[in-house]
Amino acid sequence: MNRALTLSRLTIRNGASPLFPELCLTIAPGEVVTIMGPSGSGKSTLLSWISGALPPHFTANGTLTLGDRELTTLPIEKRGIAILFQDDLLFPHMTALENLLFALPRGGAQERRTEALCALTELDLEGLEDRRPEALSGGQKARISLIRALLSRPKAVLLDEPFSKLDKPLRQSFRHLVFAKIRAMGIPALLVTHDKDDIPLGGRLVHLGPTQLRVPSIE
Amino acid sequence: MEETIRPLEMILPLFPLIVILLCLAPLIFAMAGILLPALGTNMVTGELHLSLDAMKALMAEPGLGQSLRLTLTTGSGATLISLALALLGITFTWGTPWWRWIQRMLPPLLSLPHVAFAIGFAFLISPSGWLARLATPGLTGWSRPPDWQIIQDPYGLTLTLALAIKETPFLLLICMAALSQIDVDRQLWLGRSLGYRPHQVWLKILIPQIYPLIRLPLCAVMAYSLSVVDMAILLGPNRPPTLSVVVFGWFQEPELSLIPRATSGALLLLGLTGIFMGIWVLGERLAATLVKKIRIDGNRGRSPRGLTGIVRGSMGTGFFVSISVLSALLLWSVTTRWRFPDAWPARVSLANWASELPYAWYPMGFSVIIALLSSIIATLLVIGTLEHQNRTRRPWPLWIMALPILVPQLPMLFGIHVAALRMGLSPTLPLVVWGHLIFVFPYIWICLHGTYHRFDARYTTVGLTMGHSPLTCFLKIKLPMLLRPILFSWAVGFSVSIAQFLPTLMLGGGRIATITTEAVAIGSGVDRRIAAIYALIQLTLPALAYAMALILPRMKRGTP
Repeated sequence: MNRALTLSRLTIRNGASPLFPELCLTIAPGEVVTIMGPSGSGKSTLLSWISGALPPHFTANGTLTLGDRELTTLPIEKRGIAILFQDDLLFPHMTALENLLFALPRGGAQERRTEALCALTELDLEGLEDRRPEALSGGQKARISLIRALLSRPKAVLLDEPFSKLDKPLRQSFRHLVFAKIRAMGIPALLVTHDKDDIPLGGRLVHLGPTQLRVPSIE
Repeated sequence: MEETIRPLEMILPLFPLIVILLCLAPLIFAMAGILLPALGTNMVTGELHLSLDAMKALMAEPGLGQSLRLTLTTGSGATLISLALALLGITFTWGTPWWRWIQRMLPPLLSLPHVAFAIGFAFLISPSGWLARLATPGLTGWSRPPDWQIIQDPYGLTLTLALAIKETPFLLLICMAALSQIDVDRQLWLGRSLGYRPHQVWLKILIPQIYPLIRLPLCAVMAYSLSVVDMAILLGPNRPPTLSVVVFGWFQEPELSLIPRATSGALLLLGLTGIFMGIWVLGERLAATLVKKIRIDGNRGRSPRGLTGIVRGSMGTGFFVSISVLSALLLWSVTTRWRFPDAWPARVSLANWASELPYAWYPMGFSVIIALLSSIIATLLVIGTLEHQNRTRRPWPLWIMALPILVPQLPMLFGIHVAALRMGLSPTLPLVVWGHLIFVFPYIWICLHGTYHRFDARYTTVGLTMGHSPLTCFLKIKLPMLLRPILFSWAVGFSVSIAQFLPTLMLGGGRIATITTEAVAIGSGVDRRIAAIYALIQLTLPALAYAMALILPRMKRGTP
């Protein structure tokens, strides 16, 4: 089944002025498309529209589909699109394990717990399940927030500069981990970044701006 | 440079000392002032003979059990309803036009004093009130008001409802301050992107984070609701009344030998508040255990369409009631003839105002002087102490600063009254100002401390690197940038002072009349026209302060 994420004839306006020219983009399952552009070019606004959280002072035209399903008018919680922010945003009143359990769909308590613990072990985070976010390092928090986003079984992922706050060695390993996970899950992903090093090898890059918009097609 | 640093560094340590002396130490006197007579100190000779006679006399009082029950049901009911309304209100209106409307309506609602609200609320819902008149005779067929005891009903329902409506805006304000400390929108977005409905994100993610931040002001609401006197006199039951009104009546009796009974009652009120807070803490733990279980069960929730409507309807009704209260007061203040069941007055004129204003100037003047002095002193003390804490990096726990409003007012004031008499301080204006300061200070602290601590110290550093002194940086950079929250906190303090009833009455020895003491006295009488005038004056003074707090920063360009 084709589970590509497709943006068709999208324009987003702040008042009368469009943030960027009309955008058409299809992201294949397992593909990570990178969006770059100067500040204020509408990168984060684009992510908020895809997610369903466009601030009210913006207006948008265009459609969003995931496979055959149109998402344009659905609320955030019905879209099945996870998001990874620049900050980990782990819920401070929950332990690492509880953060993961929050993301898992309903099911048997034991099965859910096992799945969350396995996910922690897979990323070398075993033994940290009872720690609260303030007792975790930056890298640990980043990995847990990634697992949390993926455990909710999303159909697509949005990455809003998730590597920008990590130091260089950590950044590289975390980047590889994120892309590998997305490929393994076979879901489309859109990455917003300011750093060219973040672009996955062979991945497509979209330049966003008021005057120019370059969208390479899938080879 | 050294010389310019010194004045600020020398003065700042004095602020916390003054705060301890003026605002916190009186609590010790207060405890001694109620404990000693209750334990058997002779009020005439001052000798202490430990005995439980006063307690026994208290327990033998007829109707005490019912007063206790009423106190608990009205106090706990009002606290629970206002907390539920505030939290549900935020949950189901956040990010909608409703929320923006609530934010806009809050300042005028906060400036509405309890006594003015109680008087107007009675005008609205009494059997001969405006609502009954609007529905009569069309919907009711009445030719005269029914013999229903809505005001001062024996179960305290009207008092509970009025307290709940009045406390909800305060809790909403506190919730707003708490919400500004967490990234609500992105957490809401994140929770929803994981498939949760917004109300589930509030229940499982956001409310558990804001609750610890609103806990202390909530305790203040609890203490206030359990020990309120002015509103209970106007709206509460009177046969028997709530415990605070009973004890207040005992304190008013001139016979010194009856004082131990009154102090025992005050002690009981204190104990009752402590027990209630203890039960509340147990309830919190139980709720936390339940929420902990459900927050990780993966349940994304169903559409809460019905509940959304109910909550928004309740919020709308609450605001409608507050606006109607104001309208009823305005209407009654200009009424010269309004017979039941007419929906509108037959004759209106400004004659009531013209005849009453000459008498109102005197208490109004006292109200303004006391409120200005106490709120300005309190604001200076708060800023000085916060600045000192910022420099020493040793912030005091919030509960210590809020202690005066976490303890029931009545027992505390009696203790201060006795201590003041023992120290030879007779009831005078400075004593009343001091009494107000004790209760104004914590409110200003609660309003300002968060914003003050969050101020980005790098702005001051930039000023210092340009060669300006710390004092200049404080006066020309920090204060102007914090002008808006400082003025708003001052306005809160001013309105708290205007609304004070017990401190004025007890520490002024009945000799200093303010708009509030007059409004309570007149409000419990029969002349609605004069009561409305005093209630309107009482609510105009804080409204002017809030208006000033909102307008002044706009006049000063560049203030964020």
